[in-house]
Amino acid sequence: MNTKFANSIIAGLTLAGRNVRLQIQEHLLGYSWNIIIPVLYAICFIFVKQAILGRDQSDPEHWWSVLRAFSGITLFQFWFQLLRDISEFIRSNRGVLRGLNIGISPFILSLIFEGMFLLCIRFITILVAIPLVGISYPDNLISWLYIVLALLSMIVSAVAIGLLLAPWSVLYGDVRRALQSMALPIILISPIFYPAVTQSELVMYWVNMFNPIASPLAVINASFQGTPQIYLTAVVAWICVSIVIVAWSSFNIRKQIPILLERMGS
Amino acid sequence: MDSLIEVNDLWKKYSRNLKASLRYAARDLLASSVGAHSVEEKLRESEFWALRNINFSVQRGEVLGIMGHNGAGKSTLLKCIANKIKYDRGSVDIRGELAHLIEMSAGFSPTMSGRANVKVRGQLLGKRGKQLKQYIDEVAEFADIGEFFDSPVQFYSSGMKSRLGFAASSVINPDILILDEVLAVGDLPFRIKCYERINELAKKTAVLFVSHSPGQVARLCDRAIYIEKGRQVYEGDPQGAIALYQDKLEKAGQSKTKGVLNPEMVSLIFKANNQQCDPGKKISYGDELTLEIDISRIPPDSQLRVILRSTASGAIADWNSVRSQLQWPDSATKLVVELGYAELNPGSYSLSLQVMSPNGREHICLSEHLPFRVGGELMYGIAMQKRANWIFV
Repeated sequence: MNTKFANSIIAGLTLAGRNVRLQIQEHLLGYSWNIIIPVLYAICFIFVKQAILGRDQSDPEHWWSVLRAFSGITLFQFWFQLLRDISEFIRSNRGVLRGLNIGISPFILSLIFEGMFLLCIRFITILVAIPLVGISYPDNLISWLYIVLALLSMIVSAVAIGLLLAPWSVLYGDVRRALQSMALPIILISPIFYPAVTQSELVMYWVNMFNPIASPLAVINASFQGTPQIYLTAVVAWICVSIVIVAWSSFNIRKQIPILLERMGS
Repeated sequence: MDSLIEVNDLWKKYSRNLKASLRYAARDLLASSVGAHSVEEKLRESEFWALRNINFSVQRGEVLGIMGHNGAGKSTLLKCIANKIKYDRGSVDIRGELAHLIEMSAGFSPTMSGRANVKVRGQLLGKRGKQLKQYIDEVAEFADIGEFFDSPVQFYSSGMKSRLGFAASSVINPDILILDEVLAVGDLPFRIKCYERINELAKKTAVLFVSHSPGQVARLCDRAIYIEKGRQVYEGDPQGAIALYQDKLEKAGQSKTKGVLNPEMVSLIFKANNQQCDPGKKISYGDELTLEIDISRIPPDSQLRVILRSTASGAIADWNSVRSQLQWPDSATKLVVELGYAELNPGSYSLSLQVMSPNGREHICLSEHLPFRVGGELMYGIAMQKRANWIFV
C-alpha cells in the first residue's frame, strides 16, 4: 500500500514536471502569465478606482484595496485554473490513460503539484507586491498560519469541485462553458474589488460562506490587515467537506474511467 | 501451465446513436456514483452487441492471434481486456503485469522529444536511476530512429511513431502483452525486428496479437481465434483462422461491385490443369493456368492485359500482350493465354482482362473478374511464391 502510494506520488511528480516543461516549451512567456495578468488587473483597478472615486493616494485604505484586488485576482485565477484543469484531467490525459495502466491518482496529484508550484509563484508575487504598495507584513505567526490554512482551503476546494465535474466534463461540453461563464460572477460576488462583509445577518455574509473562494480570500485579507477573522469557520468547513468530496470522487472516478474512455472514442 | 489471461462469456454493447450513448453514459455514471450496478445487461434503444460470448485463455509463452474483418470487434475485445472500456457481461481475469500497444503513440506528448516522452513513460512505469537510463537506451536502440529520437514527436512520420511506440511498450518485460495492428506500419527491416522481439517475448509472456495480415498470424501465433460480428466463430490452429478470414475476404470481394467496362465484348474461360475452373473454385499450388478469350468482338491489334489480383493485396501480376510482342493474325476468334503455374500462397485471387486500343491510350473493355481460391498451407504473407532451382555448388 505504501509502495503504491509512493509510486503514485513519484508518478504525479513526473507528470507535473512534464506539464511544467510543456508549459514552458509551448508558451513564449511561460509562467510569467501568472504574474502579468493580475498585475494588469491591479493597474486597471487603480485607474478605474481613481477615475470613479477620485481617491487620494495617500489614503492607506486605498492601498489596502489595491492589495486586496491584486491578491484576490492572483489567487482567484490560481483557484479557477486548478478547478478547470482538474475538471478536464480525463479528457486532457486520455492518451496516457489509454496507453498506460497507472490509475488516476498520478494525474490528480500531478495537477495538485503543478497547482502548488503555481501557487508558490503567485503567492511570492503577492509578497513582493506588499512592500511595493507601502504595506508591512503581518508580524504575528497566527496570521501566517491562517494564510496557509486559507491557501490549503483553496487547493482542496478546487480539487473537490474539479473532481465532481470531471466525469461530466467528458460527456458534456456544457461543463466547460458553464465554468467559463461562472468566472466573472464569482469574481464579482467574492471579496476582491470590495471588502468582505462582516455582519453575519447580511445575505452577502452567507453568500461568502458558501462561496468556496470568498472565505479564503477574506481570511487572507484579514490576516494581512490584522482585522478580526469572520470567515475562519467557513474555511475549516470547506477544507473538511472538500476532503470528503475528494475521497468520494476519486473512488468513483476510478470505476468510471472505462465508461468515460469509451465515450471519448478513439 | 497457468493461464495469464482468462476471458469467460464476455459481452460488450455499443450504441449507434451519439445522443443515446451520452444518455446511457450519464446514467451509468450516476449509477456507479451511488454504488448501484452501473451497467444494464440488456440492450437499450439503438444499442447492439459488439462482442458476444467470447471465451478463451492464454498461457505464458503463447501467442494468440485475433483475426476478423473491420468492425468484427477485435479492438473492442483488446480494450475490454486492457480495462480501457467496460464490458457488460462475463469476466476477464488478468494474472500479472499487462502492457499494451492499442493506439500507436498513445500518451506521447507531440511537442516533447521521443527521448523525453520515453523518459516520462519509464518514470511512470516506476523506473529510476540506472534502470531508467537502461530503459531509454534500449528503446532508442530498438526504435532506431537516429537523431529523431531527440526531436519532437510531432515531426515524426507514422512509421517512426510506430517504431517508438512499439519499442517503448515492448522493451519492458510484461507478463501479458497486447498488440493491436502494430505491425501494419513500419518498413520491412523494422517489422522483422518486431517479429523477433515478439518471438523473444512470447517465451515468457502471454501475447495477444490482432492483425489483418495472414502472414503475420501464421508466422507469430501458436493459436488464433476468428471473430465475426462480435461472435467468436473459431478457436484453434492459426491456419484455420486464416482460412476463415480469407473465405470471408473472398465473399466480401465478390459482393463488391467490380469496375467493369463493356464486359460483354469478351468472354473468358479460365482453366487450371486444363480443367475449366468455375468462379470461386479452389485450385492447388502449382496448377497450370490458362485463359481462353473469345476475341471475336474485340478490334484487331488491341493491346490485352490479363491482371491477377489478390483479394488481400490488390493487383499482384499482369501479362501484357505488348511485352509478349503478340502479333494479331488476319482472322481469329479465340486466343489462349498460357499464364504459367499458380505459384501462389493460399488465398483468394481473381483474374480479369483489360483491352486497350492498339496505341494503349483508350480503354475498350474491362472484363468481369474471375475469382478463384488457392488452397494449402499459408507460408509467410507474400502472395506470389515462386519455385526456383536451388543448386548447391
